[in-house]
Amino acid sequence: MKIKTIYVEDKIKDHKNTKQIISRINYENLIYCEHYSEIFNPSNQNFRIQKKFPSLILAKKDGNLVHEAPKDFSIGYKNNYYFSHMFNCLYDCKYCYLQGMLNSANYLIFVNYEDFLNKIKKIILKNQDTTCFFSGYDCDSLALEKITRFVEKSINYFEKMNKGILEIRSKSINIEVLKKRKPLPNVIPAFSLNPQFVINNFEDKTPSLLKRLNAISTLQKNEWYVGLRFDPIVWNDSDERYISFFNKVFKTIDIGKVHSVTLGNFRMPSTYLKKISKIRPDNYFIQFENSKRVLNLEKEKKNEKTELCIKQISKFVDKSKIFLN
Amino acid sequence: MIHFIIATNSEARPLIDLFKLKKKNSNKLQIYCNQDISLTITGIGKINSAIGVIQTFYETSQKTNDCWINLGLAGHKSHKVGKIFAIRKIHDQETRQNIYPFVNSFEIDSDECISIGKENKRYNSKIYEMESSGFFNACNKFSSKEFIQVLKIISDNHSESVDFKNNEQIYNLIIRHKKIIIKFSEHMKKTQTSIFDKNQKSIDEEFLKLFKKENFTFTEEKQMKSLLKLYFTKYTSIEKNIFNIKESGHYNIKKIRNILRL
Repeated sequence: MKIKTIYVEDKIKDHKNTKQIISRINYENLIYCEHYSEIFNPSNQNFRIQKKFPSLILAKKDGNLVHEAPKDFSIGYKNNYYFSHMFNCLYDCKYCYLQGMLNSANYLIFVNYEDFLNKIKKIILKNQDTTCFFSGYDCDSLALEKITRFVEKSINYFEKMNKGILEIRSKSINIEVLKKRKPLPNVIPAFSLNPQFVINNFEDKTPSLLKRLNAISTLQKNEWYVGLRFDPIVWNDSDERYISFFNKVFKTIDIGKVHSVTLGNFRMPSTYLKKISKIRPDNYFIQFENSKRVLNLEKEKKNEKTELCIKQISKFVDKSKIFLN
Repeated sequence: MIHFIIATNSEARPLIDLFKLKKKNSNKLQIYCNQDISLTITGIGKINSAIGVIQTFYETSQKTNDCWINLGLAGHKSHKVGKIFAIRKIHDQETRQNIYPFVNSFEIDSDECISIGKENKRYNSKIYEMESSGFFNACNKFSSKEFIQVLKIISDNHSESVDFKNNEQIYNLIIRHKKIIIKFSEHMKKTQTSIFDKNQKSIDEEFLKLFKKENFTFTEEKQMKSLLKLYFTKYTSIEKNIFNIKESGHYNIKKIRNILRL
């Protein structure tokens, strides 16, 4: 990965993680700033151009480190939280909501990992029941692991946190960090999956379905229980092709080592959709979804498709492991 | 279009010759143009530079996301006189505002600069000059930051300086970078067209070409524009007689929805 420019907040220039991350990159420009928002937040910048040529911003996250997850967002645990130690990712999915939520496509990494993990510990200790934490919500944790080493540090931390569950959601096949250590029952590598024709059309720069399935199989052979995330399922062809996709997935992996399966439709706040519609005028998927928004087209079709998915998945996995997000 | 914003006549002259620009009738500022490039001589200082940007915008294309370049001479403690830099950070000494121009993939040396309000000769480790902060803030009203760049050529350092009254010396200092200036401008232009393709249909224009506005309600117009946008992600042109200009918005929306199989 080529990063020409790194921006560093003055206050974390001497932080251990900052120095380590910088040492792993062959950069040309190192620019200090007072606050990451000076670069990341201004509104009149172009996400698409930056996506082609992203810079890296290293910063410190103050306050609001961990958030409660939306009410129905769960993989079977009572308490659910998410956190973002990083914004943006290597991949360029046409449906990605980050394009609508953020003004910049630069990679923003909060290097104060210890503050995230301390906050997580406090929440775990406060809650009586098991608490689940979702990572990779606003980024892809595994994809940049070689630079950030965040997952490695988190897993080490969660080894001592029995009442805490960590989900690491990814499309990446960069699984070295998981392969090289003994599996933990409370850390769930979770992979987003879509049929290959959807990956070809909508998930630019991501690993193929086969590569993702191979990564899952490898982890399962190493005794990891893996989450399968059909989220968002992008409907772009006949039902038969989706049925054959589910068959392929569950015939390739070890069904006995599936932690959970989640299903989610494409969903995006209408303000994000409107914004992406402007910055990606050539993106048929977004223009199509935007037209559906403007025309207020059918919603019942989504339920019908969801039922189809549940029917197919439950042929292989117990219904108690399937969650709708 | 690419707009050059230049403080003085002597700094502007090499570019006027390089791009064969012709003087435009303007009673406020000196603006020179050809079909693709404009150059405005603004006078020294960030306020003049900002005024120059706004005047240029309204006297030329008036298009958002055009490319803007501020080129000029600047001082530095130790950089060699004649060296050219793209600016990657601007610090406005008066307001203490920091601005971070987009560092693009063009291969050119870059450095940080301090934008000062009054001329001084106290050299430090950053490039200093007098226009970039006003220039950048004004341009950013009209263009995305990726299309706004500042190029500075070192005119003086702690041991030597050009003679600012010698126009020929200044001309030569700038014109020797003509290849870089041309390539840098082309690079910006290429980035711009890769995003806002020339062939990209203006949906508003297409709508007015195809329909009578009065046949559409406010909502129908919004719907039709959204459908046209979708249509042009699939097709490059609209076949003749698909729509009936005399018919209502509702009728034509139905037509395009059928074509798009919605």
